[in-house]
Amino acid sequence: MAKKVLIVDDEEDIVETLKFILETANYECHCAYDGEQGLNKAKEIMPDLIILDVMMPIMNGYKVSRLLKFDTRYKDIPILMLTARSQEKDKELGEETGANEYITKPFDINFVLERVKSYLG
Amino acid sequence: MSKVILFSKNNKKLDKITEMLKHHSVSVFTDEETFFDYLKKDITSDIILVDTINLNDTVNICRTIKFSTQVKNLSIIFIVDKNKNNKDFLKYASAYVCEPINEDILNATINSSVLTKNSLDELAENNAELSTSLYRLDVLNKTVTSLAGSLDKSELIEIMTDGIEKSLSYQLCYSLVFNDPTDITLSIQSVHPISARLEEAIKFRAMLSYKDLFNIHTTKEEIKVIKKIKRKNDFEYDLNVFNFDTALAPINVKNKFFGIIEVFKEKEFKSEDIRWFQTLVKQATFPLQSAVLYEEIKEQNNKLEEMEKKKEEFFSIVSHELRTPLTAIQNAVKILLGNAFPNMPDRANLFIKMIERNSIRILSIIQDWLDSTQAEKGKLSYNFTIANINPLADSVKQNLSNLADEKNIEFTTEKADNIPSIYIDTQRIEQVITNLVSNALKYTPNGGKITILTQMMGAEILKERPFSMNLDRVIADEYIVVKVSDTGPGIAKEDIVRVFEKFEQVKGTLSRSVGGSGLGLYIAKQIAEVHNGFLWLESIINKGSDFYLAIPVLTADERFEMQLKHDISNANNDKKSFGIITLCEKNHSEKTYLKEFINKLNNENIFKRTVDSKSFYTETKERLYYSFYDTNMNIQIFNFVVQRIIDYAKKDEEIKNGKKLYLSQVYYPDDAGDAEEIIKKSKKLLKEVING
Repeated sequence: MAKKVLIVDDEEDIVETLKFILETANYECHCAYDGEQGLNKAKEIMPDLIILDVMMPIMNGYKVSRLLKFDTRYKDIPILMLTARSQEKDKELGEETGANEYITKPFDINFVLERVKSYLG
Repeated sequence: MSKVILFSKNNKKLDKITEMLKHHSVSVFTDEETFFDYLKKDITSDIILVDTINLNDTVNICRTIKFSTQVKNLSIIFIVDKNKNNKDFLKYASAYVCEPINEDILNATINSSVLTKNSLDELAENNAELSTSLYRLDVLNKTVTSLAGSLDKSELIEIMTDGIEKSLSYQLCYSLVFNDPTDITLSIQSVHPISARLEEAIKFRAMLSYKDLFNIHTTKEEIKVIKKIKRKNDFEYDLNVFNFDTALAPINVKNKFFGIIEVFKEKEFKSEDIRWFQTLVKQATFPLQSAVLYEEIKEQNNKLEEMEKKKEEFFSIVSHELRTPLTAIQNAVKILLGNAFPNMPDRANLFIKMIERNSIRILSIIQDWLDSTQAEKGKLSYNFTIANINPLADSVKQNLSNLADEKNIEFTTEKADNIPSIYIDTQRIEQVITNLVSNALKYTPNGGKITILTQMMGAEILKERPFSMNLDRVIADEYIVVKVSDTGPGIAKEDIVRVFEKFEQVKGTLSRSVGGSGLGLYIAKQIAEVHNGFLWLESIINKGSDFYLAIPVLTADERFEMQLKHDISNANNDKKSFGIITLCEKNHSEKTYLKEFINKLNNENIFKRTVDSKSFYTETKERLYYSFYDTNMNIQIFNFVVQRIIDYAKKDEEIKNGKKLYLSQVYYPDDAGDAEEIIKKSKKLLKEVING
């Protein structure tokens, strides 16, 4: 069965391109467009990996990550956090919230694909 | 005609003497008491003539006369009995005549006494004038000195009125100062308290004389009033003050009306007083002028700083906003160019590649904008590691060979294999090489040749290179050199220096058509300098240009010293007397002292001991604050450390008074010694820099 990846970002274009490249690599993709939606979807579908943007309406990525990582049911789901370069200083703050990896925007989609593969094979 | 007071108990003699003194005005007394009373009030007489014959207690009366008189230099002439033996009382006299009185002698004596008195009076008057002048000169001197020491307008006005008060002794003084139409200050200085209606009246008086200057809407309520009352008592000045003598002077600054000052004095002002008053006011106008200019400059400066800040913000926001959609474009293009659509026609591929190429170009321009504003502030972030430059040259070649192919340019690398690994920021150095090569790609015509060459260069050879550089900056025996050569049009000698300036593109030949931010080489130079290296250019017109990047081969220790020296002297040059040196430990988390340091951060004593090295700063008057930080350390803890240092430093008077803190981050290399050693070393360096 195909591995499930949840993409959470308020930028539809980014979600669309990531979805395309991941689906081409035979992953099952689910999308959410704000933090709250992302959190609910994560709980609902139990994905194998989450790609999570930081700056989002309603609930930011840090919070989503923290809520998931502090819950034993979801804490093992790998989270790849997408940050703007200007937020680099937040990186360390984010690591406290448990994200597994950071990818700074703008990113190369092939690089993201590689990282996803490294977690899910 | 002189004014003579005549005292005698003998009425007959009185008449006789009065007759003799018919050319003078004579007041006559026969009774001692009335005589003494008169003396106590009299201030206009010239001569006292006393008949001492027939007095009961001559000595006593004579003494009383001498000490009762209120007139200065008043001559007392006694009429005495020639035969009387006891003449003690004569010591109270200016002169005496003997019985029988000779009219001529009496008149001559009176005349000479009057002459003496007049001379003495004149002398005293001159003396008094002289001392007043001296006193006023002293006041002027002090006032001018104080005026020179201030650039604060209200303080200047205060110093001026102070000086006027000291030398003119007025009862009331007011000054009205226009800072601008909405900021008008009336300051009143008075000996006695003033009534409310007098205050209102002064406001009106000041406004009415200069009503043209007031905004139509200005009401007297908008005038700020500052009162200084010398004596707090029941007596109050009222409108009667307007009956006093007054002197008024306008205060003009740069030929523009700035304010007025008016003084009130119960007695009349003398003409010198008025002149004096005007001199003092004039003296104040020069520093006031400076103060106004100073304020203008300060305001302008603030505006400029504000604008600069806004510009930076704007750049930063625009850049970030632009980057997001550009990334989306690039990713979409990557999908199109990838394996997903194998049946894409070649012509479509060509145009998609065009989209890719141009979006890369826009992104690099945006990155340059961001970097250049950061580089200007010395704020480009660096991340030093031990690395070799050769792979960087390869990486640049790989990234840019597509562009070279398009122009059919032969693009090669020649790497020396004896290049040692050194302490560099690999990303930044790659950025420099990329900038040099993109620059070469821009200017090299189709079919040309570009080479990246790495080599070692001894300091001796470096010094002989044909470019003007500060030889003091050659700090190592050996340099690693990256040379980027092209077969472009070359750059004329006079243009070479400008190439590395901001927004500079060499004009002429085919250059104007070349795109780019004009910031690449500027940023490259900044990065080279942070690595204590050099970036220079050698060029022959119509043959090509060679760009050189030279980075010194330093030991970790040497590099640390270099950066610390650089930061400390920066702090010194900016006249910021406080250097906060943040020593960033890299990959040192296993070392116990660092762990301890972080763990005990909450312990005030430990922190203070580390920060506050008294023995050191009492010696040099300069202060150095330390904190250690592991790059793996939580950013919040790091910020906490920095904040604590700043809080601590803020207790210092000089920092409170507006001197800025210089915050520097020094990366201490991996093979560093322990904390004690680092502190010792930085102290030594700081001392060296301070002592020149």
